[in-house]
Amino acid sequence: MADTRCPMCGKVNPDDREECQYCGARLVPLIIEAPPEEEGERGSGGAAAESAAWERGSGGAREKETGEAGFEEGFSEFEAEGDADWLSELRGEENLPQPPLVRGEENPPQPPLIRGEQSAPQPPLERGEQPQEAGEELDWTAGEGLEEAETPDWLHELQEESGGASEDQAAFEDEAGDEALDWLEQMRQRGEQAQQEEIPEETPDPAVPDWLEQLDEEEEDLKGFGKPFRSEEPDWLSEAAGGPEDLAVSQEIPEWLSEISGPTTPEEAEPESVADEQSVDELASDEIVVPDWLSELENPPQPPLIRGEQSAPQPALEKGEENPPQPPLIRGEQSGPQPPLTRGEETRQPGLERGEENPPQPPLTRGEQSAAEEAEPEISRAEIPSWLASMRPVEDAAPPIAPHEASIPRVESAGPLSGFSGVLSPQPEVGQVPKPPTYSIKLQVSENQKSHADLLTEMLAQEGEAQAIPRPAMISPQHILRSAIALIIMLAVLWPLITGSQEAPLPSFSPGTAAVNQLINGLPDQAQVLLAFDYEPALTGEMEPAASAVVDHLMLRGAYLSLVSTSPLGPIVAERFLSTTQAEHGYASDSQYVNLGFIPGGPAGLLAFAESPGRVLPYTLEGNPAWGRGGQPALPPLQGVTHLSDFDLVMVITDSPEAARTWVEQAQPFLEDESAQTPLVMVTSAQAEPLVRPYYQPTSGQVQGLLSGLRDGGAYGRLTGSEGLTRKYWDAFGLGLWVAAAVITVGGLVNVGLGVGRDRGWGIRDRG
Amino acid sequence: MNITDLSMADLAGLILGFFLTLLVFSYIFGDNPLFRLTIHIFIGVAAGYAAMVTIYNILLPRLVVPLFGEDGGERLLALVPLLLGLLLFSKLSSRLAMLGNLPMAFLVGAGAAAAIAGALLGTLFPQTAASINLWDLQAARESGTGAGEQFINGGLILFGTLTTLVYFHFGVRSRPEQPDQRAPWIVEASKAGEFFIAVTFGVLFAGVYAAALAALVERLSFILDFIRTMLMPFISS
Repeated sequence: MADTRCPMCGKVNPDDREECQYCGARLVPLIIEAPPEEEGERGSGGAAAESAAWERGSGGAREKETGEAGFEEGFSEFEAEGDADWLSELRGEENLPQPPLVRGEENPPQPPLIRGEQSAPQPPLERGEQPQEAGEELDWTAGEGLEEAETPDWLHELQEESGGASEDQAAFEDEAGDEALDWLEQMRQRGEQAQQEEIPEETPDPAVPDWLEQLDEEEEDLKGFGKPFRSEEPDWLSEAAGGPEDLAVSQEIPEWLSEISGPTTPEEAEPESVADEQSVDELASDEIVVPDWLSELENPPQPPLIRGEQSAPQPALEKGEENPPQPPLIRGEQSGPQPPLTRGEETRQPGLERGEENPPQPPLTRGEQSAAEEAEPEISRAEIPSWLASMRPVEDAAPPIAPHEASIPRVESAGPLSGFSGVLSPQPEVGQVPKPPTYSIKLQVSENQKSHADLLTEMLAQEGEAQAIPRPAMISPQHILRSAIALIIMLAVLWPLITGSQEAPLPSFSPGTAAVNQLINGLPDQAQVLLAFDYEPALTGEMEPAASAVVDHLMLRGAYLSLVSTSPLGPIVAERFLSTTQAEHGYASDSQYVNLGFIPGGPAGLLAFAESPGRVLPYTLEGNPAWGRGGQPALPPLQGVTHLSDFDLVMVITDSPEAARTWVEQAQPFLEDESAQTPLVMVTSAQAEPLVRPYYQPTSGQVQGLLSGLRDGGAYGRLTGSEGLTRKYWDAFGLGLWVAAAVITVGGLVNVGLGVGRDRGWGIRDRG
Repeated sequence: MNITDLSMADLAGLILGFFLTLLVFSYIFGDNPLFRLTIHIFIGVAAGYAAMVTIYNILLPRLVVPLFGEDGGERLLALVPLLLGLLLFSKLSSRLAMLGNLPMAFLVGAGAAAAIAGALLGTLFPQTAASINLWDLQAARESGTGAGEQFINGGLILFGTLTTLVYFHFGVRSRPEQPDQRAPWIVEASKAGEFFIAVTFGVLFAGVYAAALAALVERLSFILDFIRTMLMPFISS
C-alpha cells in the first residue's frame, strides 16, 4: 500500500509521511520499543505464573498478548491488500458527518457493576483497552478470511488505532496461537450448538463460565440481526439488541448521547441522522451477513493488554462466581456518561476489589450499540417524590455543568501526541471548578411578621422626629398657688412696715448672746478686735441687723477694728456695714479701723493668716501698709499685733456654716496662748446656726459666744439698748413668720383633706 | 432719709437698687428675661469687683511690689509664686497642660493638708471630747447647771448622736440561706436616728426660712423707704 490514510480525517497521505498533510494528525503512532526479552517476561513469564486459574478460563494473559500480536499481524496483511471496496465504502461513510462522539466517549452509560455481575454491553473501547484478544482476531482473520466489505467502521477504526503496535506484538504471535484457538473453537461450537437447539431456557452448564455463556448469547444475537430476538434472552439484552425495527429507530439520539453531544439543533442533528441511518440500514438489512469473525470478535474472553501493561494478579474465579448475566437497568436509572478511557487505563468497574480485573465483556457491534442507544429512551425517568424534591439543594437551580464539557476527552492537536484522544490535560481538574452553590437571600416573611416589622419601623421613625415641647400655660395652678403664697407673705410683711408698727416685743437673750455681751463688756479700752465679714451681699438684710447691735457695742467701747474677709466681696460688704449701720459712730479708716481686705487661699490662706497676719495681708484695702514698714509704725488697730492671739477679740460674721467651721478649725487653735486665750465669737445667719452651735457648747469651748439671725440681734440690742434695725424689722419679721407658719399648716391640712377625699371618692381628681 | 440730703451717686444707687429689686421680684410670676437680666448684672458686677480686689489686694502688693522692691530676698521669694502662677496659665493649652501640674499639685496638696488637719484638730477631736464631757456632772455643777438637767441634756444629745450614726450604718450580716438584713436593734436605732435627722432638717429649714424672710423684710423696707424718699417732697409740699 503506497498511501496511508489519516485516522483522523480519512484522507490519503503518502506512505512516507508521519503526519497528515491535511489535518496534521500523526499517521505513525509513537511507540517506545522495549527489548523483546523484557516484553516476553512481562507478557508470558510474569503473568502466566501468577494467573494459573485465569488461564483455565480465558487462556491466560500470555494468550491475550499473543492474540493481540496475531491481530496485528492479520491486520497488517489486511492492510497489505490495499483498500478494499468495502473498506473504501466504510471510509466513505467515515467521511460522512458522524455523530459528535469523540473517541473515548463512545462508552454508553453503564450502571455500576457489582462483583460477580456481568458488565453491560459496552461499545468498543479505546486502543489498548480492547476487550477482545488479538489472538482471536488472528484466528478469524486468518482462518475465515476477512471480507473488507463487511468490516464495520468501528473495526476499521480499531484497526487503525492498533496498527502501530503490530510490530512489537508480533513476537507474541507464535506463542499465542494454539491455546487460543482451542478455547475459541470451543466457544464457537457451543454457540452453534445453542443456535441449533434453540433451547428456550438455557440451563447453565456448571462447567462453562457464565461470561462464556453470555458470549454465546451475544453471538447468537449477532447472528440474529434482522430477526426477532428470542424471548428467552435477558431483558437487558432484549432492550439493548432490539430488532431490525428498533435498529431503524436507533437513528434517534438517545438521551445520554444527547447529553454528551450537547444541545443539538435540527441542522446539526440532521446529517448525523442521515449517516446513522445509512449505517444502520446497512447493518440491519438482510443482505448483510454477519461473518463469523464478527461473532468471534464479540466473544473475547479477556481484553487485550496494551503494551507495557502487565496483567494484574487475578484471583482465581471459581465456578459459579463468574460473572452472572447483568440485570437490566432499573427503571428510572440512568447511567451517566463515563469518562473516556485513556491510553493505559483499564476499564476497572466499580465494585471490583483491588487486583480484580474486569470480567470479560463482549464488545458491542454497531448493531448492539445502536440497539443499546435506542433502548435508553425507553427507560423512563424516575419521578422524584415531592418530599424529596423539597429537600433538593439550592444549587440544583443553578445551571449544571454541561455533561459534555466534562466528558469530552481532549484530543491532542499538536506535538508528538497529536491525534491521540484522552490525553491527560495539563490542568483539566483545576480549570473545572464547579459553580459554588447559590443561596437565596430573599427573606421569607409572613404577614404577621411583616405587620410587626412595619410597626417597629414606624416607631423608630417617630423616635427620630423632634417632638414639640408643649408650651407651658401662662397661668397654671402652680403659678396661682405661688403667687398667692407670695402675696400673702408680702402683705404680712408690708403691713407692719407700712404702718410702722413696733409693738412686738424683742426676744430675750440667749446664753450665747449673754456670753458675747459679757465678753465685749470685758474688753479693755481701745481693745483690738478682729472682725471677719464672711457673708455675701445677698444676706445683708439679715446679717446687718444681727451684727449691728454687737458692732455698735464694740464701737461704744472704743475698740479698734481690723476688718478681714475670706470672701472677695467681704471687704466691700464690711465697708457698707460700717457706712450704713454704724455711720453715727464716725469711725475713721486706718485710724479707728483698718480694712485688710481679702484673705486668699481658703483654709490654707486662713491658716497662714492665723500664723502670721502681717505677712498675708500686709496692706490695707486702699494699699497702705498696715503693719508698719521702714520704721513707720503700724496702724493703730494693728499696733502690737504680731500673732492672731494678740487680738483681744475675734468676731466672725458669716452666713455660711462652712466659713464658720473653717475659722474654728484653722484660726481657733492659734487663739490659745500660754498666758491668755483670745475669745472667738460668731454672729451667724439663722440658716447656719444649727451647724455652728455644736462648737459653742460649753463642753466644747471652741466658740465662746454665738449670735444667730435677727432674733439674737434683736436680743442683743435689747441688752445694750441699741435696738436699731432689729426693732424696725422685728414686727414685720415676726408677722411674716406667723403667716408663713399658717400657710404651711393650712397647706398641709388641705393636702390631707384632698387625700382623704380622694380615698373616699369625693370626686377629687388625681394630680397630674 | 431725705432726698435732698443724698448725693447724686447715692440717688443713682437708690434708683438703680429699687428697679433691680423690682426686677428680682418679678420671679414670683415665673422666670422672665427681666429677672435673668438682673441676675446677669449681679454676676458681672460681683465678678468684676472680685477681680479688682484680687489685683489690687493681692497681686500688686504681694507680687509686683516685691519684684520691683529694693529687698533682694523678697525678689527671690516673689519669683516662686510668679513662676507657679505662670505655669498655671499652661492649663489653657492642651499641649502644655502638663506644665501646670506642678502648681496644681502644690495647691491641692497644701489645701488638702490644711483642710484635713483642721478637720481633725478643730472638729473631730474637740467634738468627740465635748460629747464625752456632757456626762461630766462635776463640771455641770461648777457651771451652775443642775446635774439632772445636765444628765438629761447629755443623754439626749448622746442618744441623738448615736442613733444618727447608727442610721448611717448600712452594713448587713450575711447568713447562709437567709436574706441579708440588718440586725433588729440597728433597725430600731436607725429609726430613732431618722427622727433626730428629721428634727435637724426641720431646724435647718426654719433657719433658711428665717434668713430668707429677714432678707425679704429688708428689701421690702428698702422699697418703702425709697418710695417715701421719692414721695416725701411732694407730700410735704
